[in-house]
Amino acid sequence: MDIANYIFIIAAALMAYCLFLVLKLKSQFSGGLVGKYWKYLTVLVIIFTLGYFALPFFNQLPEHILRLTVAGVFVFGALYVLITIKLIKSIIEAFSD
Amino acid sequence: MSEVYRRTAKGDEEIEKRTYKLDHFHRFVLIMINGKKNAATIISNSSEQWHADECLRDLEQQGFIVNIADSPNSMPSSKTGDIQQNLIATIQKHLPNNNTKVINRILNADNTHKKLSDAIDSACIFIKLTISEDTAKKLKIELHQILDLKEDRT
Repeated sequence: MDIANYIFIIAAALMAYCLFLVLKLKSQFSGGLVGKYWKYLTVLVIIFTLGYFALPFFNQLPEHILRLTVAGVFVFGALYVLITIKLIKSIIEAFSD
Repeated sequence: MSEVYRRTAKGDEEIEKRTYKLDHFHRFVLIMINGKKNAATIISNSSEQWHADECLRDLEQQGFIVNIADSPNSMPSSKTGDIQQNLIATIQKHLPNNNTKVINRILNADNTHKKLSDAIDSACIFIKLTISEDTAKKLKIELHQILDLKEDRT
């Protein structure tokens, strides 16, 4: 098997673990600032997990769909980073109030 | 459950200095003892997980509290811990569920104005981040009012 495939498997396993963590921690936030952002993070992690597990089938996709998928990964990745930064900013503000 | 308890000198000492290092649940129940509420009220005001009935029994056996139901002329409980008790009652009013971590912050604070004020701020940050921003805001104002009111009286 190609080394890239091993990396894909590791990535999918890591993302599955992230999904487990994000769902497990969700029960600890009934609301508040963290609870608000956590909902968005959960949705994004679910999308990424689905995408990672669909990776083996990507070679069967037409090229223009593949390009759209890659673009989607970039957008969702950027959104994830944005939400994480906003969450950290909110936590810092809560402590500095 | 008609017993009415008051704290002994040993009970007051535990609240002030933590000499006997009671666990959180026993400490919480000990703080609720004021020489007025009966056992049934204390149990109903406690979270189930604290097993308040067992705590009361343990506290009595270990000499932290005494039953004064049969001796109405007994001395009432001292004021020690009354502030914490009021703060906890207010927290329970605003946060009927999932309040264990918040209450523990108050219980773990030493019984001084500064430490309790810090504990209130810390508890409200926790509420703001994980429960509700509005509740945190209201609770912070109300808890500080209780604390400042008690400070003015003393």
